[in-house]
Formats: sequence, C-alpha cells, structure tokens
Amino acid sequence: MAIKIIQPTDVIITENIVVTVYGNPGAGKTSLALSAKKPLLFDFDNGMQRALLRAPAVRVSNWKELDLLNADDLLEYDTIIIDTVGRMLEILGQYLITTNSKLGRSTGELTLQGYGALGTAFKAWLKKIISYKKDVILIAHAKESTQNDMNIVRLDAMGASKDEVYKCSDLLGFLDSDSQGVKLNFNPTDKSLGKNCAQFDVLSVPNVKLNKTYLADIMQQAKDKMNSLSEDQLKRQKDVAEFEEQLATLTTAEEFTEFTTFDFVKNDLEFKILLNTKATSIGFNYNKESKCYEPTTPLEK
Amino acid sequence: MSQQRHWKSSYMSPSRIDNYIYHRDAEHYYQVEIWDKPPDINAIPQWLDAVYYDDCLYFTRGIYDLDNCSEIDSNSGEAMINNVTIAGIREFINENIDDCIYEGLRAEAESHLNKFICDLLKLKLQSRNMLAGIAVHEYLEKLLIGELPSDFTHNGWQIITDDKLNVELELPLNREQWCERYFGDIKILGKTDCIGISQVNDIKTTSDIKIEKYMESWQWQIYLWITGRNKFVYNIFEIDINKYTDKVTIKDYQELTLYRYKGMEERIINILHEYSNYLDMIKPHIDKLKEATNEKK
Repeated sequence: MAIKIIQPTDVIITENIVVTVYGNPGAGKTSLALSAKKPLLFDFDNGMQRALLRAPAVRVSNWKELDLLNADDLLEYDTIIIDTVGRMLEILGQYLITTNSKLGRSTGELTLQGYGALGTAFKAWLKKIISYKKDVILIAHAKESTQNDMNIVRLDAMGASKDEVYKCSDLLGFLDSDSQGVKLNFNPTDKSLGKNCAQFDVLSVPNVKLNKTYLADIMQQAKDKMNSLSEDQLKRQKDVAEFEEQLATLTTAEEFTEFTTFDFVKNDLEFKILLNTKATSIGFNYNKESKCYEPTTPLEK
Repeated sequence: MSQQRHWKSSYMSPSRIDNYIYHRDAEHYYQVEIWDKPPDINAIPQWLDAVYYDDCLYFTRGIYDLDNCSEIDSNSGEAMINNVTIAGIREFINENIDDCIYEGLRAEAESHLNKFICDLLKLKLQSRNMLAGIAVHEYLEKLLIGELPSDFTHNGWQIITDDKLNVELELPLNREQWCERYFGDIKILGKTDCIGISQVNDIKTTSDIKIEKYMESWQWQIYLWITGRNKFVYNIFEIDINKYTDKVTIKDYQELTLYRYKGMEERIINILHEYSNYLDMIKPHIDKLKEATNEKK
C-alpha cells in the first residue's frame, strides 16, 4: 500500500453535492431540506410531521433497512435527506454493536474501537449514496458551547463521524431565525462554522410553501459556480499541455536557456519547474552564475 | 550546584533523574540531557530536546544561554532576553504567519510577549514529535510527483507507511512559494506548501486529527486572502512516533477542503486591525526591556 502524489490534471465536473444544514430545533431545517429537487427523506428523528412540505419519507428505526438500499431503490429521487445525522449515527452505532459485541460496552455505548468502526461505516454508506449520483442533504442539530468567553454553535454529532460530515460537505450552513426571519448562513463566523463553495451571501429563507424549489435552486447555483471554476482549471490545463508539447521539442542546452528568457516562463513558477524538470531529465543542469543550462557532465572533446 | 538557581523559577522546574532533566511547561514536556562537554549542536540526538552544559541549554536550533538572560520575570517565570526591538518583532511576526497570527492575535498581549521574544531568537523548543512531523512534512513537500517509498529515511527518521493506507493526493507542482500582501504598512508574508491556479494546499502532520480546529483557524483564510485563490485544501497525515527509536509511521490520511466565502475579506481586515493594535500595544514593553538592559550594562 502506498501514498502517491499526482499533479491535479483531470477537471471534475460537479454533478452532485453534499449539503449540511444545522440549527436549533424548530428552525425549519426539515422544511428547508424538502424544497430540494425530488427529495427522499430518511426520517430518523420523527421530524417529518412538523415540516411545512410533504415528500416521500421513510421512517427509520433499524439500520438494516438502510444497509440493503441499492441504486434501483433510489431511481425516482434526486436528493437523499438524512434527518438527523446525529440520530442516524446512534442507530448505526447500535447496529454495529449487534454485529460485533466488542464494539460496545455493557451500558450500550460504543467502545473506542466502536467509534472508529462507526466513522468508517458512515463514510462507506455516504460514499455509496453519492456513487448513485444523488445529492445528499445532512440535517443536524446545533450544539451550543463557550469558547474564549464567546458563545459558539457546532454541529451535534459523534466524534470522528462529525469530522466526516465536515469533510464531505460542499456547503455547510447554520440555520437560525430572529425577528427578521429565517437565515441560512454558509459563511464561517465567530459563532458558527461554515463551508461556502459558491460564495453565497447570508440567505433569507422564504416560506418554502410558497417557494417549493428554494433549496433545489440554491444547490444548482452551487454546482454551476463550482463548474465555472473548473473551466478556469480546464484552460490552465490546456496551457500546461501546450507548454509540455513545446518542451518535448527541445534538445540542446541553448534551447532550454532561451526558454528561461521568455516572460511567460519567467512569470510562472509552474512553467519554470516543468522546464527545469525536463532539462534535468535529459542531462542539463541550470548554472545559477552563468544563468544558462549546461550539460551535467562536460562534453567529451 | 550553581545551575540550580536557574531552575528555581516556574519556567524552569525540572526534576532530575540520573543524568536527565525533565522539564515541563504548560504545554510541553521536554527531555534535556546533562553533558560534561560542550556539545556540537549537529551531534545532539533527535530524541533529545536539548543538552545542558555549563549553565547553557543547547537546542538543535540555537543556544539558550541562561547567564545572558537579563532576568527571570517574577510573574510569568519566563526568561527575558535583551536586545529585542519592535522592528525585530514586527519582522518576525510578518515572517511567521503560521505560528503567530491566528494563535497569538486575539490573546492578551502581555501573556504572549515573552513567547514572541523567545520565538524571535529562535528559542522555540522543538519537541521530538515536532521534529518527526517536520521530517515527514519536508519529504512530502519535496516529492513533486510519484510514490512515497513505504519505508525510507529522511533527516534521521525512519518513515514507514501503514500497510492499510492507500491514498492518492493531487498536489500542485508549485511548492514552498512565498506570497505576500500588504495591510497598510504591514507586510503579511506566508510560505505556501503547494499552490495551483485556483487552490492552495497545506500539508499537516499530527498525532491527533481535529478537523474543527482546522476549520476554525485563520490560517486558511489568510492564505486565500493573500494569494487570491478560492480553495484551500488541508492534506492531513496522522503519524505515530515510536517512543524509543526514531521511527514514524504514517497511519492515516484525511483531506479537508475549504472555500473563500462572502465576508472573508472583512473578517481578515478586522483581525489585522487587532494585530496592528497589538504591535502598538507591546512596543512600550519592549522599550522597557531595552531600558532595563541598558541600565544593567
């Protein structure tokens, strides 16, 4: 097994994203999530009945039902909603203990090894759902605490699995309400954490009964933004490929030296590295004093 | 023993076992060996944090001469060093964005003053764990493209990849590039591990991965602000350091991607205002130290 380092080359078009919304009870998380495109709600927390919108839902009390899910079961849906991720992890944890008693204590809590297994199982399941080309919305409760005399809110989920949620989310937003209405903030603040791949402002969430595709539209904008960034990468990739083609035609130290004088090389560190790597690979080294490429071993007279 | 007077303060409160001194401060636990001959700094074994000889502590990054400390601060118990200027501190902080900006900025100025001074004079203790992490980090950073050998030696550390680990990292070719941006007359300078057209990568080595800590940090935000890039990727390696031999095992790898966001610029400007005020606030303390030192001379 190994660690391999590669140069970023392939531009990946984003078709599906993971959105995490966390907030206090009653903030409207489930209602908001149900305004996503063709949703299927996995209701772990019995939150469905309080939601403003209705959508196909599965009330989950046993992990086994979810573990057997396959792509065909989800064909009709575009978005899978997990409500809430904290409760889902509890149910997954209980299931893991039934499969391997070493993962749990007599009190029903997970052991250290159990928490590790929980993180792994959660990651694998999420990966499976994403591989079915579905958008995923993870709903979580918020947990308030104090840090350096400041009130902060963080996502309420267990240990390593919480880290998985943070890592896999393209958008992570805190949903809060005040006298001016419901606000969804994907931006990090002193109080809450956030991830905002689309650079959204703080969003005023409308009554989703009147705007039933609200989150679907937001998610589409996020994908468009991510893909527009990929276009820049695509252009750059093309430039690098053309430069590499030019490098392949160079054969003498003088030609490599001449390339070092071109502005587009001087001003671009990546081009400089590529030039130097190519020169070194065919036996030329850069002499800093003479500012020229020279053969590694002196030529025979 | 004459050296005992130096160990009386809370800053230096070691217990002596055989010929070792175990020195503990609030955050670290250091192992210092007493030598009876002057050490060659390069010859200090990596498993030692420092060597004590003739009233001096020899660290791998410099010599901390206890006799030349002007005094030990009675409140904090930390050593005060002379010849420090505000310009020096400003330069130091500007060049060490990683260590200072987001850690020290919000904290009260006085409690961090001595730490800055010690850092300025390169007296920062490098624990064994840090040295091991640096060895892994350095190697990864220098490896442009290719596969990390599963067992190799770098900087005296044997670095092993766990059998179960199988990862492919995408790292831009541009490595260790300095980048800078001015805030007023303060130059904010940082060295990126890897930088590409739209992203900055930072390699981390740690024995305990805490994702929230990285998300909360100012580091990624300030780098995005300086470089104008949109995406910041933490490439985090979990390492396990053998207690008795210079052996490090890379156990796990995790990746955290963070993005430029609305309001980031304003938040950074606010924090830099705090930083600027902080520099002004510590200036009188530095002047006082200089004054005391001159009087002594």
